[in-house]
Amino acid sequence: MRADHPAGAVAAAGPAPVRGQRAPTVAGDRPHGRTRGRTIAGRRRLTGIMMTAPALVALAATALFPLLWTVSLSLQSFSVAVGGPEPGFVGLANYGRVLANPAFWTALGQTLAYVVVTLVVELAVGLAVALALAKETAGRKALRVVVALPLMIAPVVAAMAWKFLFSPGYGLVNEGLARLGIEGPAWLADPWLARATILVTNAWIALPFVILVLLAGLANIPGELNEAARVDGAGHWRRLWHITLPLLRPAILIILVIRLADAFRVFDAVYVITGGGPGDATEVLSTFLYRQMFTSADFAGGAATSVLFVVVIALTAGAVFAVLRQREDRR
Amino acid sequence: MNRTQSRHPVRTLSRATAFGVLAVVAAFLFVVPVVWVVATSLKPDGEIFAIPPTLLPKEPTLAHFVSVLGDESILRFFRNSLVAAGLATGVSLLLGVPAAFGFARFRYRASGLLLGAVLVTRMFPPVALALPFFLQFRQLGLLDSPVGLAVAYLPVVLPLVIWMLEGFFRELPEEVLEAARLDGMGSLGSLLRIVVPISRPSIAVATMFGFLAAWNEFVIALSLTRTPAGQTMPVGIGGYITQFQTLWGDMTAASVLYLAPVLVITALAQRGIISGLTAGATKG
Repeated sequence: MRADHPAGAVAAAGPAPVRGQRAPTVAGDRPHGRTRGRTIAGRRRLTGIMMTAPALVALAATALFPLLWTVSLSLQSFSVAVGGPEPGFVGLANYGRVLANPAFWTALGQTLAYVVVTLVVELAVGLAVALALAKETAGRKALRVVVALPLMIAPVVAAMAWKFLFSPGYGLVNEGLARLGIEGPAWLADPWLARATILVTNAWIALPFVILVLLAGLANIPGELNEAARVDGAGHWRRLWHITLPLLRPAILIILVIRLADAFRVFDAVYVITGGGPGDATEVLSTFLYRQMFTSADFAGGAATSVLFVVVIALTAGAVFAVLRQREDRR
Repeated sequence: MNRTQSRHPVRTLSRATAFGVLAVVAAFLFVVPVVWVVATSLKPDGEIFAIPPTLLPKEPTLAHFVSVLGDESILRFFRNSLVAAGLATGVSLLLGVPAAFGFARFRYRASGLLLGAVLVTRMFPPVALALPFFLQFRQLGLLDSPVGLAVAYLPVVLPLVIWMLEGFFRELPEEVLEAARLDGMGSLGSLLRIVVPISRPSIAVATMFGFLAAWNEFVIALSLTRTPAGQTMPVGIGGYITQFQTLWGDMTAASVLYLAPVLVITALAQRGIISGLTAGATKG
């Protein structure tokens, strides 16, 4: 039993870059003569170029150029002092240095683990909350507003709040545990508990987005489908697995695209709450890179790490999309 | 099948209860940190570190707000945040509105590819851009400057604005643009006199999200500023927490002032936010 997608939902499922396949060929549709149509089409193209060029130039200057410059820096020796010795080409030596650094591998491993765990947790919790809030009743409408609240809180402030809530002694988390007769641990002193603290904080920051997108997806599922399946004797879990989840695919894809990139660059909460500690237990690529550049002033190594960071994200995102597209084709 | 149906009312009831409990617990978790920030900003110092802790202040005081509003550097942080986020958003709109319109309505050979490239910059780790900006700004004297920050925020804000508006503009009915054309308007004229006015709600949403991204940005500001002359609110708050762990009262008061504009704006635009966030998820 496999529920078919409505065509529209599948079309909307593509990652953002391919969203607009439908080309608005106004000129072509018009019953004008060939030459006239061609010049209109040509003028429309020119208009498109003129309108998009300023933004493209700005992005080339502020994103593409810095990236290319970083690549070039990563291939040079580099002195911190402004009037220091001239930088010289050193080939891949900086990469070798970074790749030989165990701290880099720790940060990379912990980043990848964090990305996987956080996406799973956010999707699972987000789906549970979204399903709970899906039906339109007065109480649930109010709850939706509540659930959107973290969206408006700056990540740094959220991190500050959770750091305090988890602090031993005057933190509310341990106070709550104490009321239940459990002695709360020193959360930030233990590697795994510190990681859990970071995970909870970031899940709190990201869940509103996940929940709201899933709610929008759920609202698009026609109620008759579930009703029909229920009449046919499909239980709750079967309906969730065979109807709701397949139809939520576009929403889940959007969440994956956005949250994957966000999770990779996680920085604010780690920096504010643990600073990468205890030891290096919560060190991620962003904090490792920041420390390398601005604490150790290792600019050449920082450039190499920056490039490796971008490559890791590109490879992961590419792999995820490849897998998802393959699935799509098989359907 | 009959058995399932006969048991159904009971199961629905228990399921509803379970969902209800889950919803209340979730709501509590969603609210507590926010309540804590506001409550702590109103507590006297002694109560902040009281054991056992309290959630709501017993003797509310505005002392922390008075101290924060009299603090030169916190006012600087606030102004820098406003300048950096405001400038970055303004420039992004100026460049992003026509770009989104061009990408949505005037395709050319490479436009799909270029739009894809613009969107990919959204996946960039901002910390990977910190080094080139740092070195360039050091030479140009733009370190510690909110104007410099605004420039460095462009790769964060501009793709976001283009991404949201491109979706909105693509949904505009063709007849509207056709009518503008028949009235003899050029493409720029129809953008300024027709498209922008009728898309005001969408543009407001994109503006809000762009502003929020810059207003909340942390790692770029942390990398490109060193003194209160150029630091922003998140750097001030985040930096002070890690340095002086005892200033919770002042830091939460500063946080409340920092969050206030966002809370006001988002409260005014509740509907828009949800439609903006879920743009793309519901199409089709």
